[in-house]
Amino acid sequence: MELDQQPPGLQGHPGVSRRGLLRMLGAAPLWGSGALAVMAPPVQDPPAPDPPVPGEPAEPAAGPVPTVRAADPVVHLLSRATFGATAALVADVRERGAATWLAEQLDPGLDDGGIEAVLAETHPQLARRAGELVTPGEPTGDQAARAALGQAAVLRQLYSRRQLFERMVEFWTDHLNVPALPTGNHLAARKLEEDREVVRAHALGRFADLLAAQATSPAMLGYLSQEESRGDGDQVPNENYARELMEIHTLGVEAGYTEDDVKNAARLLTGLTTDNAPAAQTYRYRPEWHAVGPVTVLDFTSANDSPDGETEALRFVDHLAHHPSTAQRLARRLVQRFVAEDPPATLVDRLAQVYLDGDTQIAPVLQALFESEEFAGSVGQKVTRPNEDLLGAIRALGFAPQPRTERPGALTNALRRLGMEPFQHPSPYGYPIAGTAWVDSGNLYTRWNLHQALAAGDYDDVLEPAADVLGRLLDPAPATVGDLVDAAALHLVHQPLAPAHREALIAYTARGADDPVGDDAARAGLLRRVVPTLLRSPYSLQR
Amino acid sequence: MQQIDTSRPATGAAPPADDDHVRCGCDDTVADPWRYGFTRRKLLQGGAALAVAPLARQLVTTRMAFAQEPAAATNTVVVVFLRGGADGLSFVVPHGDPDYAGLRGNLAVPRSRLGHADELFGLHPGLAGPLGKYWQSGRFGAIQGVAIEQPDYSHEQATRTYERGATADIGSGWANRFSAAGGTASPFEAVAFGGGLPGSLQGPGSALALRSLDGFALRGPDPAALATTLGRLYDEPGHPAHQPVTATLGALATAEQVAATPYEPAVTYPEGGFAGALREVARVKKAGIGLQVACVDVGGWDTHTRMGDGGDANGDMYRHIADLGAALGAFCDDLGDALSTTTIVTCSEFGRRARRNDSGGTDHGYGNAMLAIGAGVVGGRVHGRWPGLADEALVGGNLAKAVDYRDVLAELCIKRGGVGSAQTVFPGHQYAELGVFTRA
Repeated sequence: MELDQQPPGLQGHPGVSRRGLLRMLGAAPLWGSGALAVMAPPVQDPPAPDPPVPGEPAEPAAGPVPTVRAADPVVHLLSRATFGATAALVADVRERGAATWLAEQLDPGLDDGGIEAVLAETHPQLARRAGELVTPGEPTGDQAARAALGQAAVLRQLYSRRQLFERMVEFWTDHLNVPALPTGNHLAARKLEEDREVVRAHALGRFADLLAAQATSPAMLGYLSQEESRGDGDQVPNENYARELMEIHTLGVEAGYTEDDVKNAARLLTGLTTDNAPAAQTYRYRPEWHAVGPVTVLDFTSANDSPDGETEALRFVDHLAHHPSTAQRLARRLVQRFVAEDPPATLVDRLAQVYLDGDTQIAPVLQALFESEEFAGSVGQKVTRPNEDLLGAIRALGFAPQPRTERPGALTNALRRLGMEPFQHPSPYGYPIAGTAWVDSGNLYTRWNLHQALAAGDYDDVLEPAADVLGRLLDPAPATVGDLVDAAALHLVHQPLAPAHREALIAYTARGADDPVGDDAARAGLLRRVVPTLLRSPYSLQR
Repeated sequence: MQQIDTSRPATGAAPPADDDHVRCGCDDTVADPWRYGFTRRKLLQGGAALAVAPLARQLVTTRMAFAQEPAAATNTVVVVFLRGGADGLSFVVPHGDPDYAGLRGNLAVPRSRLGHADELFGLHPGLAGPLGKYWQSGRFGAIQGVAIEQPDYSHEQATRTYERGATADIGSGWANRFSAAGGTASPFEAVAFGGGLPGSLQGPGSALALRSLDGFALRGPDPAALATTLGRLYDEPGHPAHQPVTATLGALATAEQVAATPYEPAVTYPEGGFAGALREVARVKKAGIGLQVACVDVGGWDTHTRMGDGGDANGDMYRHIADLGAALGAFCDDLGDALSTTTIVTCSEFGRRARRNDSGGTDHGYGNAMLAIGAGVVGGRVHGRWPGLADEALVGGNLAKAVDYRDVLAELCIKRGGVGSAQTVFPGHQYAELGVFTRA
C-alpha cells in the first residue's frame, strides 16, 4: 500500500508510522453490507468556514484534521450514531451489517431494551403534565422536574437500544433549546412535558410537525416571552420568539430577512400564549391579543385580517419549516453534528435537497447522511463533546445501571461540572454542537478527573462497582503487560495504538512490555492506570 | 421571569456544581435565571471538590516550571463581558436628556438616586456605591455611545463581531491577538475565569480556561508520570488537541505551585459566581505569574421583560447592576496595590432599545456604555460624544454609535498592554485615540 492511499483521517499525522498505519488498516474489517461499503476518498475542496457562534471556535480548520483514529467503518458509524461504541455492539454490527443496524435504528418501532419500563417506575414524574408537576408558590415541583428530566436523559443515552433516536433527541434539544429552569413561569415543569410531547414525539418524524408542536408548547412560549406578547391596542409585540424562531430554529440570519420582517413575524405570532394558572400550564390562543393587518416576512405574505390568527401563525411556522434556507441550516447543523466539525458543502447541499424532497422528514436525511461518501471519509473529524466523553467511557467499560441508586443525580452533576448538564443551557442557542468548542483547559482536566473517578470507584453506588467492571475486563488476563495494553485498547477504543502511544502507556505502568501481568491484583493495578489513560487519549477525544 | 442569559455555553454557564452528596439530586437549583450569571461561585467550589490535596502537592513537572516575576510587574487587562446586551442607559444614566424620562417610563432611574451626577449623566447607584471612591479619585470612568460598526440585533452575530474585533472574516478573537502580541509566555498569560474560552480569547495564541486554582489538579496514580504520559499521547503539534492539552498540563504544574498557598483576599467578596471568578483573577494577578489578559463573563442582561422600577432597590435590573458593582468594588479593593497595574473594562454585544417595551423590559438595541476602572484610566468623567435620545438621533429606536468599541480596546492594548500598533490587534480598523487611558 502506498502512502497516498491512506484514508483521509491518517494523512499527515506524523505520529502514526507506516507500520502502525498498516496494522490499523489490517485491523479494519470490511463493511458488512453493500449499500454503505464505500471507502470514500478524502473530502475534496473544503467549504468556506461555517460562521461560528459564540463559544465555538472562530474558524474551523480547513480540510481534514490529523487523526489517530483508524478507518474502521463499523466503529466509525457507531462512534457517531450512538453515545459510544461498545465491544459488544461493534461485534454485533460486524456480524449483522451496518446497513441492517442503521435501518433498525431508523425504525420507529425499535424497542428500547427495557429502559422506559425502568424509568416509568423510578421517575414517575416523566409521565405527568406540567400543571400536575407545579407546586404553587414553590420551586420544588420544578426542581423535581428538572432532576427527573436530566436523569432520564442520561439513563436513556447510556442504556437505550434506540441510540440514534436518543442522538436525535439530543440534537433537537440543542437546536430548539428550552432550559428546564425553575422560573416563575415553571419552565422546568413545562420542559418536561415538552420533551415528551414535542421533542421525543417527533425526533425522527417531520421537522414541520416538530416545529409546529413547539410553537404551541408552553415551554417555548414561556421561555422566549411569547406568552406575554400582545398586539392589541397600542401594545408593541415582544420580538423575542419571532426573532429566535427565524434566526436559530429555522432560516438563519444568512436568509437575509430584515428587522421589519422580525417585527412582522412578531405581530403575526401574537395570540399564541398560555394559560399560566398553576394547575394549567397549557397552550392557549387569545384572539383578543392578536394584531391584525397584512404582514410580509421574506417570501411569506398573509392578509392576517381575522382576530383568530392561529391558523395563519401556524401556516407561517410551516412555511419556515419548508423554507430552503431552513433546509440548508438544518442540513449544515446535522453534518456538523454527525460528520465533521468543518461541514463539507457538497453533503450539506445534498441533504438539504433530501429534506425538502421528503417534506421535512428527518429519517431520510439521516439515512443519506450515514450512507454518504463524505461520512465514510470523515473518520476522526469530530471532537468528542464532554457528555459523549463521560457517557462513552461508561458504555465502553460496560458499567451496568443502578437505576434505584440513592444518588440519582450523581451523573447529571458530573455533566454539570463538564458544563453540559442536560436541559440546562441558558441561551436559546443550545450547547455548541462543535466538539472543538469544548476542549479548553478547564474542560479537559475535568474530563480527565472524571475518568479517574469512574475507575477509582467514586460511582460505585450509582453504577456498578468499578472493581467488578475492571475485574471482568480482560479476564483471563493477557500474558504480558504489552498484551494487556493492546487488549485494553481494542476493548475500549476499538483499534490498536500507534507504537509511540503504546510505549507511553506501557511506560506509565512502570513495568516492561514483556513482563508477565501477574495475579489478579497485579492485573487490577495495571488496569487502574491503563483504563483511565486510554479514556483520556486522542483515540477517545476524536471520533 | 423569562430573561435569557446568553452567557457562554461552556463550563461556566452551567448552574452551580457539585452536589453529589445531596441525595435527592434536585438541590441547589438556580432560583431565577435572571441571576444566572452570578451563580458561578458554587461552580468554583465544585471544581475544588474534585481535588485531592495530597496529590496536588505531588504534581511537579520540571518542564512546566515558571519563574515568578517581580511582584505584579505585568500590566494586566481584565475584560468583563456582560452577556445578553446590557442596558447601558441604566449604567451611565442620561438623566439630563430631555427624552430619557419619557422613553423609559418606570425604568428611568430618578436623578436623586444617581451618583456623581452632572447635568447630563449620573452613575447608577449600584455602581456609585461600591465604586464611587474610584470615580472620585479619577480611576473610574465611562464611555457612552460605544458600539460595533453596524447595528446587529442578533446576540450571536453582534457578539461574534465584538469578540473577533473585526468585521472581516478573521479566525481569532481580539484578546487572543492582544495576548499573542504582548505575551508573557506564561501559561497564565491569557485566562478565561469561570467558564470556557470566550470568542475573544479563541485563536492560535495560547489561552487557558479556569474555574479555580484550588482543585485544578490532576487525579490518578502517580500524577507526575500521568502528566508526562498525557503529554506523550498528544505530542504531535498537528493534532487538534495538542495545544489545549499542552496548555492544560503547563497550567496544572504552575497552579499546583500557586495553590500551595491558600488565598486570603484583602476583603470579603460578595456571594455569586462572578465575584468568585474575580477573586480568582485577583489571586492569579497577585501571584505574579504573568497574567496579561483575563476574561470574565456575567450573564443575565437580556432584559426583555420586567426590569423593575429604575429607582427601586428591589427591582431586578437595579439588583443586577448592584451585584455587578459590588463584585467589581470588592475586586478593586482586594487588588489594592496591584490595581496600579490592572485595568478593567466592561463590554456587551449591544445596548438596549431606548423605549421601554410593553413587557416592562427593553429589546435589543445598539449604542452602549462601557466602564473602565483601574490603572491608567482617565476617570471621573464620561468620555465620548452623547448622540442624544431625540427621535431623529436614534438608530432603529436605539442610541446611535458615537465611539467604535475598537477605539477603546485598541487604546487599552497600546497604552496599557504595550502593543505597538492598533493594526496588530484590530486589523483593518482606522484607530482614533480617545484619551480614555494614559500610557503605562
